[in-house]
Amino acid sequence: MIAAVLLATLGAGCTQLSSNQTTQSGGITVTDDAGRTVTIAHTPNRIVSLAPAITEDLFALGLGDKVVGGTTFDNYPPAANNITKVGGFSSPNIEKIVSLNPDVIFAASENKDTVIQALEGYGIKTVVIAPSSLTGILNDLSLIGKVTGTTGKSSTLVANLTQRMISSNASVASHPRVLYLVWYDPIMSAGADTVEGDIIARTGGINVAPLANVSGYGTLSKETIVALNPSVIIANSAMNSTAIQQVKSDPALSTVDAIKNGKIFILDTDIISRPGPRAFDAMELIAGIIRQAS
Amino acid sequence: MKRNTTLLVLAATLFVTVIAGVAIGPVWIAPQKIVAILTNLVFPTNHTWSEAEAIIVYQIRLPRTFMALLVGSGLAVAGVAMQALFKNPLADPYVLGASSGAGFGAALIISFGLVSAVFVPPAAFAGAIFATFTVYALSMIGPKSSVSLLLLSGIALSTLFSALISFLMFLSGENLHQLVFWLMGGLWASRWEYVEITFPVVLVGTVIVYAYARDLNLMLSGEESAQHLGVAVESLKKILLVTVSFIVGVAVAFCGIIGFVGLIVPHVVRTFTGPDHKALIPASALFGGILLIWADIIARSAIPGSEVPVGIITALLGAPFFMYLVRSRRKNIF
Repeated sequence: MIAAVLLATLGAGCTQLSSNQTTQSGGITVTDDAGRTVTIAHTPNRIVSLAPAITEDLFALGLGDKVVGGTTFDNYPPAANNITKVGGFSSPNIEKIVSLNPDVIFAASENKDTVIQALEGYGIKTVVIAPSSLTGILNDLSLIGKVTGTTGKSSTLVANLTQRMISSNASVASHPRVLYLVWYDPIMSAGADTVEGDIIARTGGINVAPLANVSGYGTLSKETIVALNPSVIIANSAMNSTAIQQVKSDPALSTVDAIKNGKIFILDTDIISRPGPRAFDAMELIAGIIRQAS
Repeated sequence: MKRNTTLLVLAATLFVTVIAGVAIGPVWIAPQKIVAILTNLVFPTNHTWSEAEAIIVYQIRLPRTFMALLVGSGLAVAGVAMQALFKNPLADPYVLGASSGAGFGAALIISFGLVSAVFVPPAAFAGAIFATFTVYALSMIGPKSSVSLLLLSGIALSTLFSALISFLMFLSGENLHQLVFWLMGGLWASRWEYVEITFPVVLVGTVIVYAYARDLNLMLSGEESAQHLGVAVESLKKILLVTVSFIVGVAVAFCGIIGFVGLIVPHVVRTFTGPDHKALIPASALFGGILLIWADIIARSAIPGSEVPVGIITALLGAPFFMYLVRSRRKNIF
């Protein structure tokens, strides 16, 4: 590992052996969220983003005009709609990406290793951005800042978001049991190692998914939900009104407090399930829901 | 074993299995409470249990166990009918493209975001019927349908529909995970309304197949000799194909694609009933129910609190057992 960093750093033509630091020649070596060491020789001018959240990060850092490729799901800020599309999350079109001649690609955890390997094979620097908590989002904004030479902007943004950050165990009267619904049929939720799980715990809720052994995104059986009896349900808007109606009218869930008392809240999936700057908006919305329910 | 003894043993095993299906789950409920909750349905007694426990037993485990019983029985009976009709040990209810047809119908609806019990089952059902009839039409040579053409067009249509399903999955983005789970097969969505629809379909389907038990016995000696012995082969094919697509359509619609049950159950049951369909059909119905209930118990208990698609369990247990069966009885597998 050290040898790899050493070689990479020497390769970039500098004398410093230290990750995450700007070198004298303007080259930089960083460790990404997949634990890979990536050396960027010069400040990138052409950037491809392989996740909507990363596109939002880039726009928030004022790099919108440098983003030459994005996913079909990119829609925020509105200008992101005009970016050349390189495909969906897990299956971007590699030929299209290569044809855009990017200096750096920011990939998400959903991108398969084979995609990343293929892109690196074409000599394109690829940095994996995969935060699993709000702190992780802040670290990644700094990381993107370093890679793109916008550390000034990124530290201001990180400072602003840090100010908004609810420091864990928010002062709430009581801690309501919260079920976050990613999907119904089967019921899927998010564990502690996700941004959503972090937000629920941080804002004073008790996320029931980890109590049912869910880590990452996983399924929960109905009888476990009946037994855990959440008092608040926060549903991702990817569940449309028919799906929400099914949850409300499911006789098997009729004893669940959240359903009995009508405590079902729907949050815009683009805000709650994208680990970018808007996750802090989701945090404030969820904090409001939990404060009201506690 | 005598036929009646076999059926009695299977019926008793099924009874015990249904009780296990209600008793075993990720949430522990004391047996005496379960008995009290069930007794209360007939003779109201004092509540010694919580409302949540009653809901788990009556609204979750009971409909789920019955759904497993019905779907397991239906697929097994459909498998028996297909294997006899095509005189082919590899035939199963899905071979005619019925499952991938149903899968495509449902996937189309799900990828449009119209997820609900209202739209998905009819779409799956329409897909199953459409696929079966297309395959049947493709297999016609003059007034008769050819068994080998039927199997080949079934495989071709399955491949076509599977490709279309994959394409929909590729396009569907946010609805992807629901599609993936649905295609792996699961009984987690079971509710009484589904049981109410599935019960008459499987019951009537089984009775129809059983009514043709004698004809199916004769079919084993070959289509031509069956014809000579007075079997109306073409109408038998039509009636049984429609019956099977009804059973498969309803099973796929509510539970997704649960493989292997329709293929292995008839083979296993044949080893203790012999090839006579008068015994094979009811015994397969009972055994299919037992098998799927146990597979579902494993599916919901394997990872506590979580749901493993039951299709994974049936294939994981079914495939090695089937290999063993094929090897150990290689001389008279069919």
